[in-house]
Amino acid sequence: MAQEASSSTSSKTISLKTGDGEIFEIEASAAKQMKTVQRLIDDLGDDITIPLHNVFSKELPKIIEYYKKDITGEITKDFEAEFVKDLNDDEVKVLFLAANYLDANKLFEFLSQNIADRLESKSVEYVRKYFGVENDFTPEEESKLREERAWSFRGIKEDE
Amino acid sequence: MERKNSKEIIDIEKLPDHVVIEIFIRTGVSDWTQISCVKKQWASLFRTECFWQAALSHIYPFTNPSQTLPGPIPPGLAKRRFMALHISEQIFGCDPDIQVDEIVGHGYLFLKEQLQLSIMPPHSGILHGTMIDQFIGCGKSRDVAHELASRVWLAVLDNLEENHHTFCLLKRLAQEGDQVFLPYPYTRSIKVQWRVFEKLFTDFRDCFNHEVDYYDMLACAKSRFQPIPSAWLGY
Repeated sequence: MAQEASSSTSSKTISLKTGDGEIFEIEASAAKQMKTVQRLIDDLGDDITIPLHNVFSKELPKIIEYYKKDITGEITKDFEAEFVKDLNDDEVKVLFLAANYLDANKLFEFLSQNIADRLESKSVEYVRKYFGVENDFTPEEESKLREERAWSFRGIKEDE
Repeated sequence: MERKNSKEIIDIEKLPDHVVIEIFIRTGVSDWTQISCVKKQWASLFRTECFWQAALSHIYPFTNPSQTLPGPIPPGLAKRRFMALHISEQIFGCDPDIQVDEIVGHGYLFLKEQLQLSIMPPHSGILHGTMIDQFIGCGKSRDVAHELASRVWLAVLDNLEENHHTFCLLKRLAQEGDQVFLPYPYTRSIKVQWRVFEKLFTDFRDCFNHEVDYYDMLACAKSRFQPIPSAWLGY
């Protein structure tokens, strides 16, 4: 239900428009957690629909969901686990990039950790595929690098 | 499908370094070798001060990065301090009685580097004394300093590369044993001397080219330790 009648900041909502033209509402106190949004509000005023060119209707609701929970002070480990449970790797990446764009620190850190967890103990090829990155090492360069970078306790070496 | 639009933004490649670093510092040390092999730009991130400072403040948030440590062994930049903390944790992680201390890791790094120098490493007494001075300089008691230094020696000895240089080094260490009388806590501990001989007679047994060499070393061991284990005699 819309709560736009009240003029106090705590129940004021901000309109956000995604890159693909959809509009979502978010509470002002939640918007404050996303520094990019807050900066836009400071520049454009809080009565205007804030345009977010690099965020889309697929991910914004999820982000809003996170911060809705955050402003009630209720983000638990269980909530976070549930939040990412059904997300595939691409979806997490998109959210991560959006959190970065929005300068939404808490979500950004949480998603960094989640991506890090997804990469744990995976092979180099897996990581390359995950990030869509091309290998620019020759096989010799790569094996030399591996030797130098044996980060286990046994072989800690310092580079120059 | 939002693929067309999202393709622009699934562009982790274009992210600035400090953002990508946020993921790396959360994977944990064991994955960093893999990550640096992904592409050259990422490998180069591991040489930046920026990365290591981020790693320090995320993984060891209680250390004070601007604090300088007293004593003869310099702590170095963020990377070295991280390595020292990581090693301290590894050596002492399972012992709740001894507080994890960055200086222990620095001792390890110092000793390992010095022993693996290709030119003649300094006399072991000097290296040992430096470590003891470091620990005492940081406020440890003589007993604790002696114990820590022993642990560092043992850890370094267990992690030396298995090559000819190490073999020669071990022989030297065995013979340097008690050439010079030093006061406590500068004396080397018995368990360290033991480990030197143990490694020589087990891991490096095949390196003895001449039987004379081997028996000389055995005599040296017998003069210190009675009885010596049968494993050292090759049974």
